Amino acid sequence: MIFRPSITQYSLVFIMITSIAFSVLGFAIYNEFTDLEHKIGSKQSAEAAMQLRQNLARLDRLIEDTARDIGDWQETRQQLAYPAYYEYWRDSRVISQSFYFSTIQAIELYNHTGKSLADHPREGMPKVLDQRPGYTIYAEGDEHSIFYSAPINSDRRGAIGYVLLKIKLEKSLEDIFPIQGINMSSLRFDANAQYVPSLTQLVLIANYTTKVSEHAVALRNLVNENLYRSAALIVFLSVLFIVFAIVLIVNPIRRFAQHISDLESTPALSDNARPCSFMLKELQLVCNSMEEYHLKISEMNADLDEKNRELWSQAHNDALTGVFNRRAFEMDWQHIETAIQGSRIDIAFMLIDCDRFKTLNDTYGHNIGDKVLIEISSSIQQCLRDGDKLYRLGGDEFATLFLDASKDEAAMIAQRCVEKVDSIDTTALGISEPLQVSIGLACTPATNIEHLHELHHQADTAMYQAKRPGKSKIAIYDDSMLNDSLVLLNNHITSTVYNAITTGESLELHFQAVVDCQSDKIDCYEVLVRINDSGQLMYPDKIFPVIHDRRVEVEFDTTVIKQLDRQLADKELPENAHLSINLSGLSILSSPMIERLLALANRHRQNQLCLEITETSLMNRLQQASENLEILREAGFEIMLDDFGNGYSSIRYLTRMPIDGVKFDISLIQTLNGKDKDAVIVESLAKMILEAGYRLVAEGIEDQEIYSRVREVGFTHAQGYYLHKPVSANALG
Amino acid sequence: MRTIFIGLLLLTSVAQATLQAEQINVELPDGIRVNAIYEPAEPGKPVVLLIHPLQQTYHFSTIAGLADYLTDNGYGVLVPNLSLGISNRKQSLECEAIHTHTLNQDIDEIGFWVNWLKRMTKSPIVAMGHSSGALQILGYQDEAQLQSMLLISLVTVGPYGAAAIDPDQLEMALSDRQQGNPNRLGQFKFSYCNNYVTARDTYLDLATWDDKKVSGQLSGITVPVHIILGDEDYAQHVPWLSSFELPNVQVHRIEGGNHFFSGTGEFDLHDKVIEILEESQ
Repeated sequence: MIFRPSITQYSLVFIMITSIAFSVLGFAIYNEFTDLEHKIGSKQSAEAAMQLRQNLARLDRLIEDTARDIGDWQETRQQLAYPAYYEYWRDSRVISQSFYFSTIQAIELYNHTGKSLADHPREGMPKVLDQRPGYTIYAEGDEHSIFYSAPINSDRRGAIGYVLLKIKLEKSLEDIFPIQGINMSSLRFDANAQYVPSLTQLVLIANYTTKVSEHAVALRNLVNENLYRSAALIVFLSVLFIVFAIVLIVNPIRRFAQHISDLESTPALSDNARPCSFMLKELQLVCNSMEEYHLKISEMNADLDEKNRELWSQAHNDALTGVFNRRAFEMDWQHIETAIQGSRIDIAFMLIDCDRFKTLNDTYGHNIGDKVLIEISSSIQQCLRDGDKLYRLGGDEFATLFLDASKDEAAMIAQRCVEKVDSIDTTALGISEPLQVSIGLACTPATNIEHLHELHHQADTAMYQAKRPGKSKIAIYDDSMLNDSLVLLNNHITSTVYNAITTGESLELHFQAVVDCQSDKIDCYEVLVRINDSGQLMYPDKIFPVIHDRRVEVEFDTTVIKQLDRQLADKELPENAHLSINLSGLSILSSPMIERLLALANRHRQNQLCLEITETSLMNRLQQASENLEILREAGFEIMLDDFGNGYSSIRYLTRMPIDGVKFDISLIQTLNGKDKDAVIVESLAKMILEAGYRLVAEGIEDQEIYSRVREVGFTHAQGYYLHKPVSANALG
Repeated sequence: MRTIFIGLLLLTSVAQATLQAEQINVELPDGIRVNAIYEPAEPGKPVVLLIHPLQQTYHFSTIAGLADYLTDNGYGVLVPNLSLGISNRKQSLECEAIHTHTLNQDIDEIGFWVNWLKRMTKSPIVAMGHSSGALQILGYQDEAQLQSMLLISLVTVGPYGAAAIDPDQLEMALSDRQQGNPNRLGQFKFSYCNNYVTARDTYLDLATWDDKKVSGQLSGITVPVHIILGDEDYAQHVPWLSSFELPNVQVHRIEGGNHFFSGTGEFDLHDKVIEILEESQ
């Protein structure tokens, strides 16, 4: 991590550098000044020595002049001649004379023989003068006294007496001849009882300390004072600098940073709630610019958020229905899987598929198909709980997840969805068929991690079950459905079916007789398909899921037609046998298939051929289907509407489609055994169809009772295990 | 008194440059050497022995001026420095100096110089003194050696005048002498000196020269005595002198003259002196 000093730290460093620079400069100035002082001191020492010599010479002259003045003084001669009042004269007259100076300790007169005129000479003055003319230095304590003697001469008789002066040496120099360059109090002479002819020789034995020049002292004081002032100024300016830095820069920048932080955390602050205000013009400009910039950024962010919401919505919502799309589902499912995994809550997966949506779409066009999807999704959403999300996984497939919902609660919601969709007024959408959905439910507690991962697949399996004819529209997954689902997912089955389609080798045609109810004789045989899978027969319950799932109905029908054509050609079937062939809706719309059927009919004119089509298959492109069926009828084919009652059971189809007969689904036939309204309705419906001139075939005749019943209702034909089980061509004999 | 003292100093300094006669240096009998100025007289004219006041020297202006004037007029002059007990004295003696000499010693020195003149010249000798110098001449006993005496600004010692003393000090000095302390030094008021330092005996030698003694002395003198006084000599006991009348004493009053005859009084004094000397011949 890079260390980034603060402005305060930079300021302190700057102040430290300034202080060091000032200290170095001050030290240099101080050193130079000290050198200068030493030079001045040396010069002063020399000057002091010279001054000392000069002043000693002056003192010398003063003493000599004084001695001479005393000698010349007439009163001195008076005393030498008449010394009766000498001591009075010495102690009163002498000291009042102008030649007397303050540092004279004593003056004594001696006659020409050297005897003192005083009976009591002053202290330290000898009674008899034994000193030759000149100076003798005596130490008295720390200081020294000068004894100076001089003869008093007469014009005619030579020395008539002597004068002896005792003078304080250091005091004389200090008081009378002060030396500016010397600390006079320090002046001492290293001498005692030493005779010197001249005082100037005392320079050699003088000890003293030189006085620092007043100018030097003043200059030093000035330098020191200025250094101290400068230091004080530096300190003051430093403090001022720090205060200004803190007040004008650091604090504003911190406030600025806080302002930015506030803007980041609460962008609304930019709306004059807390306008930035700084003392520095530049900072204010920056802040204003930043706020303007922030405002623009905020606006851009708002736009981006809006765009993101739109994008998210586009990415996670289905553009047509408005519900969540597959991407949203996958994200939510991934999140839920992670979040609830191992928890105790129950989770249910509901997969919804619109029945016959493709047919509707093909029949009424995409616009109607889109409206159907919108209507279905809206209806389902109305049935969901608050917080439940509806996803469109693709095409007509929807899904939703119920968190913390029991199986019964999920089933109840599913039931509401089925009923809600059933209640849609389809006429408003421009279609005549009712809308239905098939719902597959898979439930598991989140603790069952394996089931959790398989939940989608299980719901898919359940929905497949729900979509199967004759099943409830809501299927809740259980493991028994696994086999059915395996049909779709088993590669072996798929490859076996595909192999049968492409080669036709394993395809076996079985035939179940349709009995004339009037004569109890076989009227025709319905051609049923089986696939021989290594000796094991594969029945339609495994074959057709693959066919429908892979959308290979036309190819499969073509293979069946080829197989039938071959068997007819090979005479494997009874001669003139009446054969009824199941044909998918796609095949009816397929021109090649029509051509192939026409060719088949043409080749086997001896055989009456019938085509069984489901009403569901007719819903797609009804007009085209009608035209093709008309062509086929003209070519001799009979047209039977198969599985009536399993789908929409629309009477409209009966009237509009070129059909010759109707085959009731087993679910309708089974109602005939009852006494309820359903039986009445079915019976009435059968009679109505019969009255319209159609042949009416009953499927699923399992016993005599139902056979009697259908005969009673008036069915013209019947089919079922009770009457005839499907058998191979060989068994038909 | 201060006026007198300042006047003495000024007159002394002025006169120093004027004396150009022969310098005499002789030794007194007691061994003290003394100085004098001597100028012989022209024939027929006397030589004047000029005596300066106490403590002064021959440089004293009144004396020096008279000496010059007399010399210029052909008179001989001898102007000694009284020794005052100091060998080769050349300076006036300050009040505070110890005055070891007595008035009689001064008078003896006058006698010495009269004798010296007798040996040096045949000219008659006129003794002339100023102030206390006049008093010292008056004390000279051998007046027969003299032609006459000129006493200028003569003073007497007493409570007043140029030679004033303190009567209490006088009494004290007398008492001390009686008690056997004649040589004890003391500071006395005398003339212009407030602290005239001398022994009791010496002081009393001076202090006895009062009006009475002066009158007695004058009355005993046989040679003509001329007393010259200035009208404005406030240092003098003028009333006493003005009323003084003796047959051989003639008092001459000079209008406007002060004690020192300074200023225009000096000329009047000189004229008067010449007039007296001429009349004496």
